[in-house]
Amino acid sequence: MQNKLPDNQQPNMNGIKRLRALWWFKPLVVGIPAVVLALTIPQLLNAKHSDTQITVETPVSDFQNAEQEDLNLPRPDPNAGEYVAPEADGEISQGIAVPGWSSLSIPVNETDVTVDFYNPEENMGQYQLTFELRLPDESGQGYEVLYTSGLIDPGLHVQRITLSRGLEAGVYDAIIHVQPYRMNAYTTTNNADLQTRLIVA
Amino acid sequence: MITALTAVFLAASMMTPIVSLAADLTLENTTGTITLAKSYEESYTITIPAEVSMDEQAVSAELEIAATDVFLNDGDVLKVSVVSDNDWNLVHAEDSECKVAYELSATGDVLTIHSGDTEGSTEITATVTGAPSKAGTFSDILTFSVDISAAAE
Repeated sequence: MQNKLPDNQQPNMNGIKRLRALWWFKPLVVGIPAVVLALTIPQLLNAKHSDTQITVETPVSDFQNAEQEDLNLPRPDPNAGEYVAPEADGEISQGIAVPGWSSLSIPVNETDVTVDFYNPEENMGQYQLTFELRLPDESGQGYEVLYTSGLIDPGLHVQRITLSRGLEAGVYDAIIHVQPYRMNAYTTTNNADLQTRLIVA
Repeated sequence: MITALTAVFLAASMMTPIVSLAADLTLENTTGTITLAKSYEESYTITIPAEVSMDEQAVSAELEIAATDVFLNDGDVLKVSVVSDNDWNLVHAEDSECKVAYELSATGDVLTIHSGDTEGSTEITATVTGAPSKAGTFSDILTFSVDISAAAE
């Protein structure tokens, strides 16, 4: 014969019944934390030893600052920002001074003539110049070279030249082609074609 | 009288290379005119940019063209135009087949100087219009053509 508990010690059957109805509660309470731990612990272990970076949006703690200092790791650069394309960032090269004349006068049928081809002093230390006297042909596509100078240093003049041939009297449309060279590298730069009248008289 | 004439001839010979005497001077005819003349050629100095060069990240470059010491006859005009050696393409420094198209903000006569003015300048912008296929420095050679002619009526 079972002893029956007094009424005031009888268990609350209604509550027990409610709990028994929540049959899924116990596994939930136990299972969820277990799953979270099971997923988190391996990641924490791997993050410390692997090269894979995991971005976690949490404030940098004093512990992390200390860890960076201990390991001599770089800090985020405060100047970093989105790329802004510059407006004009191509190289702006120093100008080259080139002298020019509207006409040159030379004697008839003479090859030794007097001119004044010079390299302005503004080009000092920067550019040497060469001068080439050209006679365009009738088609305008080609030309005959009457004279080509050597490299002329800044501040110097070439005043006596020898043409490839003498010319008959008349006025010829000619071109003085001026080619600058960089003095440090002897490479060519932009150049100039000076339209000139060759007066042979 | 002879001393005065001698002084005139000495002065004329020092001043100019061209001297003409419009009279025969004798003891009876002691006056005459001396024409002093010298011809000056039209001349100028232009300043051109050495190159137009950009790296693969640049989008544009400024080019300055200037004319100074311009000496023109009345009514004449100095004009500067520019042409490209590579048909307006910047060419890779190490691969001539790799090119990037560009254009200038001004075409035709980029600088004009009229008689009476002794100098002038202009700035034009070279802007990349294509896309480079590789990294490096790209450049083009420009030829600046200068011509002096009578101003159009």
